[in-house]
Amino acid sequence: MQSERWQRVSDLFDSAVELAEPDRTRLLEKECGEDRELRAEVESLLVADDGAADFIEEPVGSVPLELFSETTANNLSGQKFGAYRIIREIGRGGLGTVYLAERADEAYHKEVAIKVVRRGLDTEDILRRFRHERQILAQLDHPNIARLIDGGTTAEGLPYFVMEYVRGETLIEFCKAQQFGTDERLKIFRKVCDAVSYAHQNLVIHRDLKPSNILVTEEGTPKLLDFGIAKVLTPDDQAPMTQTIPALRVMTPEYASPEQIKGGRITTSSDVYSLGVLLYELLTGQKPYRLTSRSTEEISRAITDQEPERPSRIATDILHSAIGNPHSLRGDLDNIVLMALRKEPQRRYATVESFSEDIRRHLEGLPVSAHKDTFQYRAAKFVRRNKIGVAAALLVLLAVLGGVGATLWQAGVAHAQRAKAERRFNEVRKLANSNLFEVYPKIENLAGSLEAQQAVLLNVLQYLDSLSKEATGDLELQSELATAYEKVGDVQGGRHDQSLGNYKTGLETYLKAQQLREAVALANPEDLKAKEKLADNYFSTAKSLWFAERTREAEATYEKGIKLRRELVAAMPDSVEAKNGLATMLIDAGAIPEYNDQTTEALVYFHEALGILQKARQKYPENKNLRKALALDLKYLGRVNASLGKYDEALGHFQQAAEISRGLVRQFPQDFRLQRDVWQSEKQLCQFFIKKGDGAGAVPACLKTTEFPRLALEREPENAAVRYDLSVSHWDVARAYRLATNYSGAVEEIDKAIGMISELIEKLPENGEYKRFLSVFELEKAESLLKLQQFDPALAALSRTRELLLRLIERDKESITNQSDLSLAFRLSAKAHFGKGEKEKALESMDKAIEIVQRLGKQGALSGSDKGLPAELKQEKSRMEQDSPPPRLH
Amino acid sequence: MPSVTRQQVTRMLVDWSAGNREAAVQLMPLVYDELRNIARGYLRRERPDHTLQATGLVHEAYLRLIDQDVATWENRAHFFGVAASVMRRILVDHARRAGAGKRGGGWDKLELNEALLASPERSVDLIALDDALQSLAEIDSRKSHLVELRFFGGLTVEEAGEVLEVSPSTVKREWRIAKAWLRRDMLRGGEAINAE
Repeated sequence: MQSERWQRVSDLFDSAVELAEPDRTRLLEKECGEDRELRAEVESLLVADDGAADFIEEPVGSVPLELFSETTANNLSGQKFGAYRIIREIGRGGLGTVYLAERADEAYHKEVAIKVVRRGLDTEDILRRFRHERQILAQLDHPNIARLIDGGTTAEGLPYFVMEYVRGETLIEFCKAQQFGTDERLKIFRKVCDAVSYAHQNLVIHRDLKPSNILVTEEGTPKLLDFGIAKVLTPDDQAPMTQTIPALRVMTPEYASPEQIKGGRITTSSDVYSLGVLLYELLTGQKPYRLTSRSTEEISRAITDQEPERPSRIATDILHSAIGNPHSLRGDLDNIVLMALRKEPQRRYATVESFSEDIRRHLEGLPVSAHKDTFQYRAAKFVRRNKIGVAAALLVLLAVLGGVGATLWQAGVAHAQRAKAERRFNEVRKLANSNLFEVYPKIENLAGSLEAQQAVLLNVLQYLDSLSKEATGDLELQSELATAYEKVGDVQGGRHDQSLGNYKTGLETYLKAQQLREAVALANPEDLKAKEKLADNYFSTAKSLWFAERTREAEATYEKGIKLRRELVAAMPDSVEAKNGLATMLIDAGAIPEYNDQTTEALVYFHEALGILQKARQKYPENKNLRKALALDLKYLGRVNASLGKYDEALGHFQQAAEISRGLVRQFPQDFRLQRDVWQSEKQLCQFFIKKGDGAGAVPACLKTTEFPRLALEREPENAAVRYDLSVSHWDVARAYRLATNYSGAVEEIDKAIGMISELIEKLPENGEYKRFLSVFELEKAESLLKLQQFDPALAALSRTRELLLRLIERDKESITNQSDLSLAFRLSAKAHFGKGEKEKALESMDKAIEIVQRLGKQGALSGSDKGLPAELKQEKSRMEQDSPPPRLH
Repeated sequence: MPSVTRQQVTRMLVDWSAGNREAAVQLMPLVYDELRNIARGYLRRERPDHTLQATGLVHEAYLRLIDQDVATWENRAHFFGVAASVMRRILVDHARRAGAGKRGGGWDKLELNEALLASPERSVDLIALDDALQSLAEIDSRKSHLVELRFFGGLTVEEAGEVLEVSPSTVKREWRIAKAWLRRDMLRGGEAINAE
């Protein structure tokens, strides 16, 4: 912070230092006038400047290397920390060094442990974490948790903490020394669980549970130490994602959960996992993962990808004599341990308590809740985890089975051809080998790592490119290669749901395939299949071009595709697929002008598609793809017409689309996607009426939209997306009721929406979208309450809205919608105050509303009808100033 | 150095350039550890004089911690900025301890200063400098940071400007007054404020 005074001194110094005498003195006389202090300040700086030419001009030179390798231990022993004197170092952790100390005043003899932050780490961040730890520990009072006694800062500014000193061994050493059997180990482990569970109930996650943090006293009481990186779980204390990196660095990786390794959200479930590792070690004497080295990298990979061996098997391999019969681990105990160790937090025990409870049930011979992973689950997981690996393997198979295989199988191939085929075979084998034996394992172990995934793709592409050089003239092989390229393109960024989302590289790959496809189609104009494949390629390429914002080229590619598709329809007049292909291409092509508000152009595409589809449908009324395409086209048509204000036509289109989708659902009741299509048509209809301001039409249409998500929610009560859908539908109904002037109905509906979205926020507090919707819902509620003249509840809703919005704006200062909503909230507050007869408060709120829209206006953030908002609000304000408030009703 | 860390460090620097100030704080322990690793490596290899150029050390840490293909020139400046404050902490802490009670360590104040600086006539009392920098930070934190960057990190005018987000000409101007202020403060012996 720079005071004005210092600014003045600096400016004067800057000017004066450039001048020689007597100009310098003259300047100072003129500028300082009677201000002797100012002049003295500048002059003394000028004097210091005079001899400062060499001063610190050279940066620090050579440094003794010992500085970097010395420890603080020898310097600290004997030193005093408050009332305590250090005796010796007893341990080191990620955050600092722990010393044994005793009270220096000898008022009474007491040994304590003092934890001092590592030198070089004492940044603000660490200090904050330490202050945090101090608060947390002070709150925790449990016989199995080591207590915090005191804290402070050393003479050198290092923060330190005085903690209860626990004399004892680690839990694992203790069990070994006591020659505990399985049951005794489980019982003492449950005491550890109690302590962790207690901490969880106090909203504290330990985050770094490991053997060295769990000591057992001579009396046999386990004590948890070191809540070093624990964080209070209060909603307003959301740890930014970026803090995970030092956390990983600081904690012991062997006991970290997969989400901690990956930098995901850390919950109480992470502690369940770490306790699982601990129990595994306690029961088997081994860590759950087989590692060849102890590099952080390998440990991280193992934790995120390796499935731990069942404890009973390990115990058989390396029998830990004290544990007793390894068979005792088989079954329940295996399942219990493995359930705690699941990779996905939501599939572990929900709480430490339920984990501990399962152990109790096992001890008492009762059935436990843990069960084995199913084969299907693991298989599905394998595919998911190795998505790209599977794709790459598929590619290899495709090349080997399709291209090379087919060529070799041809009987009586000429010698030259065979030689070529063999060469190709070798090339492909190289590809196969490199993928399967070098790259594939890399992917397998680094699941979710974009880098490795791309490495595979690059590798595959490299081989494909080398093959393609040889493929000239061999139409078959060219076609194969094109298929391979397209597959890679799909994975990189194509139309498939499971792509890497990289449209640009996907596009390049599609374009490579396109060259090959074009060559094949050109060489054999009679080959309709080749043309069809080329058309498909144009479709994918055009879509990627559009995503990559290369609109011109996208349009040109669609045109090429449409031309080709027309040829195919002409060549196969009876083929419904050909017609469907053309229509689908037209619909997709029309989406570009529709998006760019070129409605006339868009309508040309959609109308042509409609004609083709309707005509084809007369002939093939049951064809599923045709009907789906028709519904899609009608939806687009409805949307364009609604935006043109042609509500009657739009309504007709929406209703037809909904009708077709409903028919499809009746016929294919298992197809969830179709059901969603119907719901979306219904939603469009509902929103259409709302947009039109037609309450009477909107109410039945919107009520209908709640059915689908409600049924879906009954089937899947845990599905957050469906719950979200339902809450939005209730909001739509509320809006419809408000339009229909049924305000109490509107309040009832919006309360449902608010209830649901609040549940979601509670479950997924980091989702900003939910909070945004909650603020919108509260605003909606306030609108209806105002109409009902219930001013106090309206004000309550509005104050919640404002609070939510302010938080959202703080996180995302750029969002215009949140700010204009905030302005609306103030505007409605003004209305409510005015209604209550509180004119002054009303004007105050109005000023705030005006201030926000004016600011937005200055930023050029108001568009369309919103441009008039500042004037509109000012008018409203002056009306309030003139009018006396309406008489109060109650 | 595991490549995971290399990626993380690079990522943090890129984040920092994108406006994430937290990144600087997170980098410090990583840079500190790396400086220690390098220094220990040299010690094991028995360098005859047991010293190393501070800026060379930082540069080596940079090469080992940063993915050169991803990092930009701006990232480099930021990294050196972090290294500067780590270096300051290490050197000043040592000087304080050595000066405080001559316990252990083996380097007293004089030896350290001689080792630190290219020529004896330019030697600087590190503790006094650190105190002065802290006082300067209270009235003008940017100028204090600038001195840290240039003196402890060896940053050029351009690099310091990048870190502080000011133009090179501003850096030059502020450097001059900062030096004058610090020198005056140190000549006065820190606390004594006598307007002559």
